[in-house]
Amino acid sequence: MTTISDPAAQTGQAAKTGQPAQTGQPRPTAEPAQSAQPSQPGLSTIEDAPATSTGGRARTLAWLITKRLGSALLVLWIAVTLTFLAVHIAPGDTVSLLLGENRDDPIARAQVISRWGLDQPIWSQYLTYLGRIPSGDLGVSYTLRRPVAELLAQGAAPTLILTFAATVTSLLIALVATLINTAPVRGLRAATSGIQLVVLSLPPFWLAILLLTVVSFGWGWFSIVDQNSWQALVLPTLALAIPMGFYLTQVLSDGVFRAIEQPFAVTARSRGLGPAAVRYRHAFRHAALPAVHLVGLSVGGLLGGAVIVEQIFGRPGLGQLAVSAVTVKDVPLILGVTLVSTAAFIAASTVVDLIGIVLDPRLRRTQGAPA
Amino acid sequence: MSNRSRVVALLTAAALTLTLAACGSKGSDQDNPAGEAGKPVEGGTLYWAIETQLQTVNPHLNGQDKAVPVLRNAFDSYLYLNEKGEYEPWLAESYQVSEDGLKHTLVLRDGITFSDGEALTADASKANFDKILSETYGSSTPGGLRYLDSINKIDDRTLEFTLTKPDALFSQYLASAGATPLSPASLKLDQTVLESGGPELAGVGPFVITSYTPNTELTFKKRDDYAWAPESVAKGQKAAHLDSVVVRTFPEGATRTGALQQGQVQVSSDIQPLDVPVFEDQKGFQYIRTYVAGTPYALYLNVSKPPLDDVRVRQAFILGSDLDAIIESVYQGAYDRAWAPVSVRGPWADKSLEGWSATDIDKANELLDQAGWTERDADGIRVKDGQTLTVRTVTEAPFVRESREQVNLAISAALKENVGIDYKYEIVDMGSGTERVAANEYEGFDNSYGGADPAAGLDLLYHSDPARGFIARGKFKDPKVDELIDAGRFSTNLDDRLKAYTEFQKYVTEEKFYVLPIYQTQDSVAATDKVKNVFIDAKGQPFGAYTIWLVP
Repeated sequence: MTTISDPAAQTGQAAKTGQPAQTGQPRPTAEPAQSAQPSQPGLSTIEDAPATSTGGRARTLAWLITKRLGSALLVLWIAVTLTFLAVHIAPGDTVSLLLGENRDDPIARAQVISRWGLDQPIWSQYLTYLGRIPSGDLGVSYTLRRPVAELLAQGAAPTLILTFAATVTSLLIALVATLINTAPVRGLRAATSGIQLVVLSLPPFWLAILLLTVVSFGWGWFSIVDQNSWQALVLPTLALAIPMGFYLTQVLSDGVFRAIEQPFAVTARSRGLGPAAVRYRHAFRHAALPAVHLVGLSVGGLLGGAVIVEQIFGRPGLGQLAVSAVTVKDVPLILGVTLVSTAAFIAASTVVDLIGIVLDPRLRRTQGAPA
Repeated sequence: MSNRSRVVALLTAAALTLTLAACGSKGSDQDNPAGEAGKPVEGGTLYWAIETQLQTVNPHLNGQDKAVPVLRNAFDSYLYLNEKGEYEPWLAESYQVSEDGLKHTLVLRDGITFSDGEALTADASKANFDKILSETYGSSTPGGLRYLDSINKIDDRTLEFTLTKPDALFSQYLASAGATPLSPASLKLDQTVLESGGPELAGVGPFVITSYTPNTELTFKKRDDYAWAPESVAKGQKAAHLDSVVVRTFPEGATRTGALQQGQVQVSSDIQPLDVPVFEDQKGFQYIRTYVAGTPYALYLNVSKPPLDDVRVRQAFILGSDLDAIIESVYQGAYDRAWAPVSVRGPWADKSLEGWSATDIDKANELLDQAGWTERDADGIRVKDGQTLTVRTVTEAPFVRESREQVNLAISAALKENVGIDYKYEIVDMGSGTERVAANEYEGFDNSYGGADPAAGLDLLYHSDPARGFIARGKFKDPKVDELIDAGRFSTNLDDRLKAYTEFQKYVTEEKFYVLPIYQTQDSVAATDKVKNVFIDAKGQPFGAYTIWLVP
């Protein structure tokens, strides 16, 4: 929801900036996996960047950063607003949920309402909330009664560690699996894609419970109890990384197979490169671009997955906070979690854009650097 | 008047041992199987898994039943309520109540200190009461302080409380975790720090909180200088045996079970019924099931409107529900049938009520015929004057647990087949529940209420005073019910109270058919066999980790 789908953005870019399409290297953007990928906010702004002179590069960069920041703020605002609306539209009454057994006690109700300002009109609550954000005041959690900013600071670290570990692990899984997958062995691909399909169709919570039950409780490895130990990180990471890794494997393998069939591969072979060199030096690089973008997008998915995984493994973190906040409609905490996870998503997609520029020289040129 | 004071239940240590030896309630309800003799082992860290995510760890404000065993580790109370319903000394070395029940004099035990070194004095104690009663702290005044008029400091260790009514819930409040004193310095902390609690708060318990990760973990360290546990718990013990305790929240039942099986934790609360066979009577483990005090899970019938305003229809509903068979088939022995409208934990339940609502389908049908529900529609549901005999229980989603939906669906099937009543179990969200109640669009309300003393639950569930019967959704408005509840609550004489409650229980069940008690609510704890001396208190919950030691 944070970006607008624009599958043609990248191909469009190259054309607009007058780059001649590189002979024999059609962009992999036409692939199905790629077309499902929304454009990155930064990428779509690049084409608007003025200036091509060297002196203009600094200005270009400043402009880019400003635009990137602007769109980030816009995305954050939309996310908070939609969440605010969703929480208020969803059934359930905060006061009753907070009071539980005492929900029909008129005095207690009045106290809760005045304490948290719930007698204010919704729009006024919304504006008050927005108005306080710039000063870092995200309100106080109704249930945990701590400043939300403090809770988020405490909860963000374990979730980001988990998400980061899962991202790295899923990339490793994807690389290794693609190497195996694309090895020129007859029948291998059919076998491995069968395994991939099985793993991909496992519901994430089921995989988490399976890992927990078999590995931690069955074999006694990786105790989950000491929340700060590395052991407690292993299984939650795998629970998130395995489905993600196999998903990436599919995209990466498809890309490699497609690239090998392209004319440039034949050209490379005719220059005397061996099949392995073509595969690993050229085809992988081509296939990596959509995969990298997919990683950026999947950070959102990983944050969502962290909700389930944290719950099952009893890990601290944003997911844990989100679940408990949603069950009692703890509005300030829900909005706080939304802000942090949206920000993390934006940060991840920015990093991915930068990596994309490193991987694909054409993107660098679109920024105005002379070829 | 104060010359003729009466000491309420200050028992000698010798008598207490007897009390505890005889504290089993009933049948499968074992109390302290882990309390076997053996020499305590000092030291070690205990990992304890629980299901509940604690909302705050400020004991004044928490209010979650399941949080009490956790918070008990760091927060003591003035009095200790024993299995007989009597109060024993704890932070108070003596507690006297005047003949009319209006003056309560509490003398603090000498030498008690908060974990920050401050002494527990009358001033410190009074500062806590003032804080708890202040409007800006927490969200509601505890029910037990409702009739508190004034607090006077008599001397450095003595406080005198004046009540406007001889309220039994006041003493009960003094025995609750919510009444625990915090150090004067803690009370002056920033509001958010104080209200959310954590290592910053200094209390008087056997452990101190060393770290707090919301929703996930709370760790405790032993206090070496602790020496004031209630005698019937401590039995001579001073400081805790364990060096530290780590309480971990695992919301998933399978995770708690697995972690305990593997020994990653040594104790787990809230064992799911399905997982009981993993620990019960298994080598290497112990399983402790205890009924909890309060009111059982029960169905309250809305008598303010047809069809349940007719006592014959209520009786037929109750006799035709075939509940015994349903409880047996849904829970397979993991939960037990409740008969009395008050929990069998503690001295309060009228045990003579067993079997009062035994299934009698013929009689139920006869009653409904007499009441004029003689026609039947195409589905076999009884009809009168064009109205079908429909009973809707409206319940709020957060309270649907312990397979309650299955139980109610089974009741629905039984009632339809046996007597032609169309029974519906409607699960709604919290806001809609309140609206349905306001519109009087329901015929039944299901609830279970925990509490060491039944007075709190009975007020809430039955009393016609809107300021007391917040969830009295049966709308009984019955002067006799109010009178008996008042007689039970506004007396500090245990015998008088028991008498009132016995009469009350007979009245609302076999005489008026206001309520159908369904199953006995319970707590369950499983532990490895290395865990010794788990102590279960009068409420049916573990008394924290204070008494526990770990054998290597």
